[in-house]
Amino acid sequence: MLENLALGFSTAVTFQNLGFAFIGCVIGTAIGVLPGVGPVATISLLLPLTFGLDPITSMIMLAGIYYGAQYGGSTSAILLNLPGEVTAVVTTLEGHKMALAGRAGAALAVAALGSFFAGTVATLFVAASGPVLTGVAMSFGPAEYFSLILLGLIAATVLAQGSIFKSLAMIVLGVVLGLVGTDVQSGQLRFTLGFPQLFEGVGFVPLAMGIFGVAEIIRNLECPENRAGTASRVGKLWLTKTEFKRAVPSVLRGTALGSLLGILPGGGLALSTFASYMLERKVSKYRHEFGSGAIEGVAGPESANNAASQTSFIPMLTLGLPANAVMALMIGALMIQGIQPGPRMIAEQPTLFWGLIASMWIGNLMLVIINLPLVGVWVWLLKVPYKYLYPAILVFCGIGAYSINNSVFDVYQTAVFGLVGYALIKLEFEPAPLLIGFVLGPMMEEYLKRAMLLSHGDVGVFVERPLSAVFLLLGVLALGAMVMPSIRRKKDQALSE
Amino acid sequence: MSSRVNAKDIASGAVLLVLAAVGLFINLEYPLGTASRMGPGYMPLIAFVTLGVLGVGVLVSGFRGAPGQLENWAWRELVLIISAFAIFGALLEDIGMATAIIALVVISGLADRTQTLKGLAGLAIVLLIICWLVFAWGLQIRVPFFPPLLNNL
Repeated sequence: MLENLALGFSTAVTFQNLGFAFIGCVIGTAIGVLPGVGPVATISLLLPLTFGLDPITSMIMLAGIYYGAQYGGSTSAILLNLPGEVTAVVTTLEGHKMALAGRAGAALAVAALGSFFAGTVATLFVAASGPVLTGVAMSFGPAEYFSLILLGLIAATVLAQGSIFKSLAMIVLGVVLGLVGTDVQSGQLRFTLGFPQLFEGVGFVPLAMGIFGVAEIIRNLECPENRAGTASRVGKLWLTKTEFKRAVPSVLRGTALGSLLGILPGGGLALSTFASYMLERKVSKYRHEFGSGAIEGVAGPESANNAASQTSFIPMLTLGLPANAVMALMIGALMIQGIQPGPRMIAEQPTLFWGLIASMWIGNLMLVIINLPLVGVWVWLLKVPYKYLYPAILVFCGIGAYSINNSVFDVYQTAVFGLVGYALIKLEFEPAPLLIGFVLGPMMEEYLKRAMLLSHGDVGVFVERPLSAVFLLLGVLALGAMVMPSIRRKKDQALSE
Repeated sequence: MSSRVNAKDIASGAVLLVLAAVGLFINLEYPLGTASRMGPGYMPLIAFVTLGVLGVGVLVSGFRGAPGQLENWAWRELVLIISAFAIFGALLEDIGMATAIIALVVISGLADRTQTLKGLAGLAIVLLIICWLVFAWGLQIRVPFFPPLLNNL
């Protein structure tokens, strides 16, 4: 592993890669700080710009945006009581109370340092488990892959809020959108509605940008958040000895919890912060202080969400399956570069695999610096009103959509998906599973066809092969668990608290 | 409408059923093949049938679950943002990036009522400078920046 990590660092520590890691981290922090601009929209926005870069460089930058957003989200949560990201909702509970008590600096410091520690441990976890899981994945045939993808698709809905039918329908809708275009084997055009521009399928970037970028803007304009709050003074950016002692066990617990939950497909990030907060409130010696600014309530969840954001790379790097919408985008970015993520990546693209892992640690180090001493810059950024931000986002979306294929059709596609995305929001469909279904759908069809060809049309192959049967069983269990009313109620409670 | 039913779920279920029906209808054109040699119509058949079944599920749950009403749509914002985006696309190649950006900023700007003319003008100028630097000068995008007509003067 050491040798591999050395290879990784030698890849990541080049002028270009360090530079783009830094750009990614800065952009990530910025959008993390700003409420209403998320990593999914930003990454889809920047996707066209990465085509000209090396695959490794573009991955490093996109990954930086992803975990940078987790760092930035806590800044506005603590200082303004506004969660910059969904995962920072929990941080507002104790973090903003600490800020009101004049300990904003300590809350920011513990969030950043806890995240850094968690990121370091989780990165090592990714490095250690990646090759092992890859070994397992190499023995998979098409039947195993099909069942695993099915399990992943079901699991992606586990954490979605609201009706289980609706989340499953979003997955299937994504799969359906993935069918559009030329069928690989027969050359048959499917569902192109006569548009020659759709022969190669629905555009990934227009879809993501429309649903997560444009639709979100309309949504934000419709219900303006209260942005009038004034930022608390940051104060001294250091922890007292007692605070440090109190935070350490919470950071350790949060790291462990987040590392494990992050691997789960679906919404491991948000779940890990809630789970960690609940755990801290249960086990902490200072639980009576919860609700009035307990440092444990910042340290645990912040570590958990950063650990989870690193380990959510594991299914993508080893199996080629996305754990969440951002990972679906990363897979899309790699495929556009001509790289198929999956178990062969570690052998065929060792510099990409290990370079990305090394860059995660470097990125985390950069983020501590970007977030702590430079916190003043981000507070200033919070003063930019949304009414100037959204037209600018639209302009970049428009040029971004055009520049993928130099085609105005993609701009129109983005507009259409903006409309679709808004309709989905209004009907209370959660859009993230759609993107996962869109990425996995074509792979699923491919593996289904191959598995059935090998078994001469016998469906039994999926239950006769033991691993495949296990995946299917897990999928059935997950579905069963979601239907159970008691579990559903608890889940909805935890997610909406 | 009676408040006993969840109108949102009923509408959602109906939308899913319509999509499934349209999809299955289009799919009639494509050969199904056999289970061991699947044709291009096989997977869509499975997917759209599943979508239809889920649509029925959502529809039924709309009559049973917690009551709910359809939300009002923010038509003004929706129409302004989507049309601003489409107009941007229409202007981009023929009239040039600068005009397209100005149109997008102004039209989408109308969606926020607190916007001022001065603010929008300032924003448009800043964005024009950034986009010229990044896209026209830096990335050399294949789109004219200024209206090509100006060159003929």
